[in-house]
Amino acid sequence: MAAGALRRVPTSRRGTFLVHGSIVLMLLGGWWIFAASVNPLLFPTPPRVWDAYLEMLASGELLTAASTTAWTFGVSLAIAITAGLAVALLAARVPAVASVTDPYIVALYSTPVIVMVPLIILWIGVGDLGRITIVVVGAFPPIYINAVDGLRDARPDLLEVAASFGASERDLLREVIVPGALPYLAAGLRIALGRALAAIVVAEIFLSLSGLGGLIQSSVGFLRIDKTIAAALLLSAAGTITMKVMTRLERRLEPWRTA
Amino acid sequence: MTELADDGDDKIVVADITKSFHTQGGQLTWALDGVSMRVAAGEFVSLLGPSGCGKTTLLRIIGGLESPDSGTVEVNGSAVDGPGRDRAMVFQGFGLLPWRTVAQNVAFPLRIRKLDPAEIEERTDHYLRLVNLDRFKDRYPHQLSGGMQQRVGLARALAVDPDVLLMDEPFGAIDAQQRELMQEELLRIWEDTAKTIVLVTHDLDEAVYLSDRVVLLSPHPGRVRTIVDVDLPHPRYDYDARSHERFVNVRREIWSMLRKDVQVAVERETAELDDGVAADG
Repeated sequence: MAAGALRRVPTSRRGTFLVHGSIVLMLLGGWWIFAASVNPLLFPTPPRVWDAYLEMLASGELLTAASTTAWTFGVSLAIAITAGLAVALLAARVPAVASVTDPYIVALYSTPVIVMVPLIILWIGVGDLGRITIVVVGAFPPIYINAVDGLRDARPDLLEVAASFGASERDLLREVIVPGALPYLAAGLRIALGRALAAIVVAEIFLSLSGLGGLIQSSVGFLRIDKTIAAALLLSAAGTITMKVMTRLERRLEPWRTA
Repeated sequence: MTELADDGDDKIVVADITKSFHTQGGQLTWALDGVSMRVAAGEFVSLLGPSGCGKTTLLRIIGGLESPDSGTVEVNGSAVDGPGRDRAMVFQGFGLLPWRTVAQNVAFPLRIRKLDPAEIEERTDHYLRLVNLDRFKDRYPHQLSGGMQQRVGLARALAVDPDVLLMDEPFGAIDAQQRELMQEELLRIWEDTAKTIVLVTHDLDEAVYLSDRVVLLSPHPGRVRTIVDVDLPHPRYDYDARSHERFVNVRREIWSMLRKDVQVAVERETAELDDGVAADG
């Protein structure tokens, strides 16, 4: 019976839910047991974290922080996507542009965002604009690089078919080049989301304290580790949900790949 | 009157085409050298020959996808200088857009030509019925067999209602049994629609079975070796045309000429491989 149940687990939704449920319960249990045996101030138990969560929810602290983070995230990502796609389109059309811009963008991509924090503080400041800049700097390169790859990778046979039917450049772009680049765009966006999330926490901790990153940092200062953990868990949940939404979006945009 | 004067009945006039390419080794090869031919309106002509004879290049020049170094191609009396509405191509690799459904693929050239949506839908439905794919109109190409995918390619080419259908080894990537069905289907469509068809193939039987005339090309440089009238009664799917005495004779006649060229082509490719091995070593 046990063997049968095991075999069925991976195939059913209920099975996956059970597996993940038990893993989470074991982690929580382990955490609780460990926390109970050390200084509760430095290592709060799960119920204390839950209380901290409810407390911050009631005071509005959490909502304010989360919405600040979400706002920065949204604005920066919108800028990074728009700029990334626009420059990529230009670079794919005019190879000279790409040969000039690519080395710098690759350099930007390989440099950890945190290295640029002092300069951004110096040049742009510690306000909204500084934070947005850091996140854009983090999210732009993967979007650009993947988009250029995708746009350049258009299938020559399909371009030829389209040309044989008298397609204009616009038709080629709309019917062949952009749809063919969608998987690349999705991959770029996926990487950009992860980098944006990391960059936003850096920005919120190292510029002026704000949002969930700021909440995490300031709570440590007040020795409210329960609040720190609650905020960190919320961030990680938000990241997970973002990735899930991304997967759904991909499936909707590319029905031919999953059908 | 010159040899190539228009006698009014020719759909396609190819006059003294040359086309050269640089190979990867930097050598100049003559894909086509002084090739001339005519195709009458409503005629079915095959271009047959071993690899390197320039048959696909010739088709692409007629289609306007490539331009010759010298010589001219006229379709309906006007010079070809690019793809045009009077011609449509069918490709060996099908060339279907993976992100579009069967119906959207057939509608693709009509969308490009900005026909109104009602007409696009009407034409798409009509040609999907013609190739027996109306039930699969909402599928994606990768869900279909090779034969079905090429029927989409055929419907797409027919949907623009061209005078001339240019087919580049259309059944080359389809398994043998489906291929025979597709050939029958093509003949049926040809008789219903009265299109002029130029088909590139390296399959001798296919060329004889389908065509009114077979243009046999020889390689290096690509030249017209001979043009053979097949002269088998139509419609050929109504009887066992492949066993017909005339089929057997024409096949034998063409093969006796083709055989040497194929042998030479094989020896040449072997020599090139040997050179490659020698160069690598």
